[in-house]
Amino acid sequence: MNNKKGQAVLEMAVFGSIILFIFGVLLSQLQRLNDQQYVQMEAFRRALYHACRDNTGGSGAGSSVQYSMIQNRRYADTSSNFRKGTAQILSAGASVSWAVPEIKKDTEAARLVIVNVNGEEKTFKYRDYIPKDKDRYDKEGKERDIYEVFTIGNTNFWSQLSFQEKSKKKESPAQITTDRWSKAEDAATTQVQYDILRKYKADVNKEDLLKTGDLYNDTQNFTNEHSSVWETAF
Amino acid sequence: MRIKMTKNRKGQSTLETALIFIVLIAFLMGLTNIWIWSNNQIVHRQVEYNNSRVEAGTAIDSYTLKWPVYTPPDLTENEVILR
Repeated sequence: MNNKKGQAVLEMAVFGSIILFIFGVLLSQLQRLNDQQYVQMEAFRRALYHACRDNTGGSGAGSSVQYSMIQNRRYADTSSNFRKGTAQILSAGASVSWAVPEIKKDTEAARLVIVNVNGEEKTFKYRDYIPKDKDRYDKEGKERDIYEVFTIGNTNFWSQLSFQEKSKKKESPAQITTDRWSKAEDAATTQVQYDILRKYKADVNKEDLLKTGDLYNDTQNFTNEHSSVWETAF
Repeated sequence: MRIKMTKNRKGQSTLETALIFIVLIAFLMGLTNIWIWSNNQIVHRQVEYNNSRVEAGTAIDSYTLKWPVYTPPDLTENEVILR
């Protein structure tokens, strides 16, 4: 009979940790849903902005923008250390063709490829990679037998986290003071590659990889520092 | 003696469950409020985004980027911790 003392509390302690873990997963999922919607919207709106503003061909040229957006975020994690969180990478892409009523003869729409990694934007011109004489269509609009295309290739991520935590508890007959501090230093490296492919009119499935290179390859550092002090007085 | 002990502990499990149940309900309601707050954000952001789409997608050279289109309200302590 003695063994059954506090059994319900003990059971709650066992299952409570499972319940808290489920709550944590639900909250993380909620945050991810919100952020994913945000990134998708932002990618499209920024693509639209650049397509309108960067009308480099001049009035009557229009422009076409392929926008890729990558964001590194750190989410709250109920099952890890104080404020450590877990790293998440969100990405979205959008393509916008800003067509003014008509494109002037002998004027070409600006074709831009923009990569945005954590707010750092890099703009590339499609024509720097695919010259006019290697494009799919010639000046008369006729499809070439052999042509080249530019595509966004592999995207690779590396992340290195340095996490420090200090916890101090000071007890006196009058009160307990708890002091917690944490610092997370994250070095996130992002590599966005491009591929130049040779394609054939006769066989749409056939393609040769001509060149691979980096559109973005850089390391960004993020630091999150938190501290909190609370006192329990008796 | 044995009979007496049994009598004293009668309903102890129910009592403990009742206490824990209150805590659990408080957790669940707090979580529900966070869900409502977050879900509202998704809906309101989509509405604001759609409303500003025509302006953003109209061919004028003076277009300026307006981002973010929606700023969510703060989640207050009172909404999560039910008193």
